[in-house]
Amino acid sequence: MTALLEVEGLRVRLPTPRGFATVVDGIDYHVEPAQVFGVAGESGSGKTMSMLALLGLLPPGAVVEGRAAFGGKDLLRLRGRELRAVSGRDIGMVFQDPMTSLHPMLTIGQQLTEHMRRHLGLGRRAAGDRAVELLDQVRIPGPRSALHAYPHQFSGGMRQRIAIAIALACGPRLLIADEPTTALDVTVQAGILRLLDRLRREHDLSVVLITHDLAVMSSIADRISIFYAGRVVESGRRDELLRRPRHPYTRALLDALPHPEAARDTPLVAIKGAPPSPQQIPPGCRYHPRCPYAIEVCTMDDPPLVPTDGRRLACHVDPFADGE
Amino acid sequence: MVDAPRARRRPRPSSSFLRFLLRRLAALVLLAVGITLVVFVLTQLVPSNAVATNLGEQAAADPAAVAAFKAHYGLDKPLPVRYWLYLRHLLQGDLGQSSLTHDAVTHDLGQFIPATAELALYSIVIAAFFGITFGVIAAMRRNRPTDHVLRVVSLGGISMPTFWIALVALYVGFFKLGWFPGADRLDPGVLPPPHKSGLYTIDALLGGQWGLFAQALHHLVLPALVLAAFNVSLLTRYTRSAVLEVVGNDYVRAGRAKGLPERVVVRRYILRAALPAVVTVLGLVFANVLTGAVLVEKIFSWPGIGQYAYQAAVNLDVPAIAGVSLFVAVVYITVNFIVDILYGLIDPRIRVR
Ligand SMILES: Nc1ncnc2c1ncn2[C@@H]1O[C@H](COP(=O)(O)OP(=O)(O)O)[C@@H](O)[C@H]1O
Ligand SMILES: [Mg+2]
Repeated sequence: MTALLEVEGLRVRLPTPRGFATVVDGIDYHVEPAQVFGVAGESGSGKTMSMLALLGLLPPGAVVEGRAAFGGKDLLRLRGRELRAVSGRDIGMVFQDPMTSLHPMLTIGQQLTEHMRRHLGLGRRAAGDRAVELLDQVRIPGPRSALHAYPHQFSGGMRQRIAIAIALACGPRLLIADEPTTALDVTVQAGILRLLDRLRREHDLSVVLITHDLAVMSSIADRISIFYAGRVVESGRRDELLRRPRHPYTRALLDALPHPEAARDTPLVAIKGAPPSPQQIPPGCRYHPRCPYAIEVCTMDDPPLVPTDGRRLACHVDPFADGE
Repeated sequence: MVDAPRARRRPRPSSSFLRFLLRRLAALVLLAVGITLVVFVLTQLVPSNAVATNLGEQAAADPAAVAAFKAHYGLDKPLPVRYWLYLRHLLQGDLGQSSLTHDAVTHDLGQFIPATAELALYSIVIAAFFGITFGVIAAMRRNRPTDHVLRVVSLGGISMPTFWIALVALYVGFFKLGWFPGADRLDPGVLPPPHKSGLYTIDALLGGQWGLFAQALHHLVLPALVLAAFNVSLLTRYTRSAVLEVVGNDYVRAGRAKGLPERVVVRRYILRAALPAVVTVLGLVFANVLTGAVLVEKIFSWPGIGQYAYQAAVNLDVPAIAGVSLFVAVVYITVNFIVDILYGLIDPRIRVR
């Protein structure tokens, strides 16, 4: 199967008061049609910036390198009209915080129809009808009257579903969802994940699902990449990765999860330390200061991401190679 | 269903807006009453002989005339009764008589207000248009040369006192270059257009008098620009920072992610969100223009309410001062009311409160 989106060597540098910070440092991944591709990692690992780079949404002054092939074009080279033709049309985006990603002064109807009218050439009525359909699809009660309401009249979970409806309005081939469930409680979260799963099955939608919560991934992603400090440390099929994590960081993320089968009083194992800031990336493996398995080579050589056992792994030590 | 519908009851926007409007209107009326009280007390505090200044020497010597005058204005009654009388006269449009012009104050106000209204109107339109445009441009070109130029210029506009700008404008535009007239609303000896609104440009247009329209406009240029200068700068700076507050917001990014043209993003997403802050400053601009008018009218010999107020103050013409104060106060609270209503129109979240 040919990939829908193929990202190679993506590098993002953001201007800071103390010069440029490389927040995404050479990332490769691909997304296949009708698949959910998961991106996980602690907060600050460059997940959001790597996605914003695709549609030219980075803060002003950002510098982007690499390639992002999508439908025969390189997204990173698109400008102006060409970029706008893809944005919102072929690629829909859902932002992290539903409380801030809807315009507080525009009605739901306006926000749901403006890009449909522009991209699909729909008239006011047709766009309105489709908007009602979409709201219905994301299970907003009373979709017709919801069109005239403003965001503040809805709860966070409903706003996030409205944001998803907006992202899906023009029938995109790819949905990029940045932590769409992080701000929500567990039941709402489950509902949104089910919705994404249904859209993938029924509409051949591909999804890039960003999260710092591996539990979310385990229920829906087909393939997963683990981000750490602007790099991919491990990537592969979900089952491989979650059942037999090979990178110590992946392992640590999984250990930090509350385990449904574990005894109730088992303490959560938080990962010690904090990820490095983009200004203070350590030499060698970026994870080595926090890694209990680090050996001397880890402090000097940056491990490349290489195919290992049906996945890609960036680790010198590979302490779990024998599937312990 | 996954997520219990936690949406608050959705009232029809129009009905909630109507309630919002009525609340504000009630506040407006209360405020207006308060103002009449303040103005009344002030007139009572000013030490002046109302009888002498109002009636003139001859009449003041005639006990019958004095008695009639005192009875009419209730000067022989206790304070609360006098306030009550003052209110009744006010409702009948009687603000007393100017001791200077010996005309009814309402008549005087009617004479002078249109000149100020016209000057203020043009100043505010100029300030709003250029201030908001410059502010948006500066913000969208943040830290680039255009932004730097606009910031320096607007800083200058704010720091320079208006009287100085006025004198420089008069000196350069009138004395040196001779491009603009330096005084009055029309050339000497020219008759104003037939009175409809009292705004010469509008009345001239209504009467199809193009030459007169051009002349009135020509006279307006310098004073209106001078009066606008500070406010253009003020608006540029406030709009710039209001826009900068907004540009980094997620919803602006979301607007761009939808593939909307930049101009739509700027207008519908950015400017819309920055508008409440801009409207606040517009209210301030209105106040500035009224205050600044006193000075600018003096320098450009503009026969407006500012000149009238100046003369009244210098001559301790209490009824005139009270009349002008009342007028200005009413304008202020009306502008405030309009600003409040605009907030409600712009931001649906405000109507809920
Ligand atoms: N506007 C910015 N300027 C400079 N650095 C930024 C900016 N926004 C985010 N960063 C930095 O970029 C890094 C990656 O951020 P982000 O992509 O948001 O991480 P994630 O989404 O994985 O939590 C973080 O270290 C963050 O501090
Ligand atoms: Mg993020």
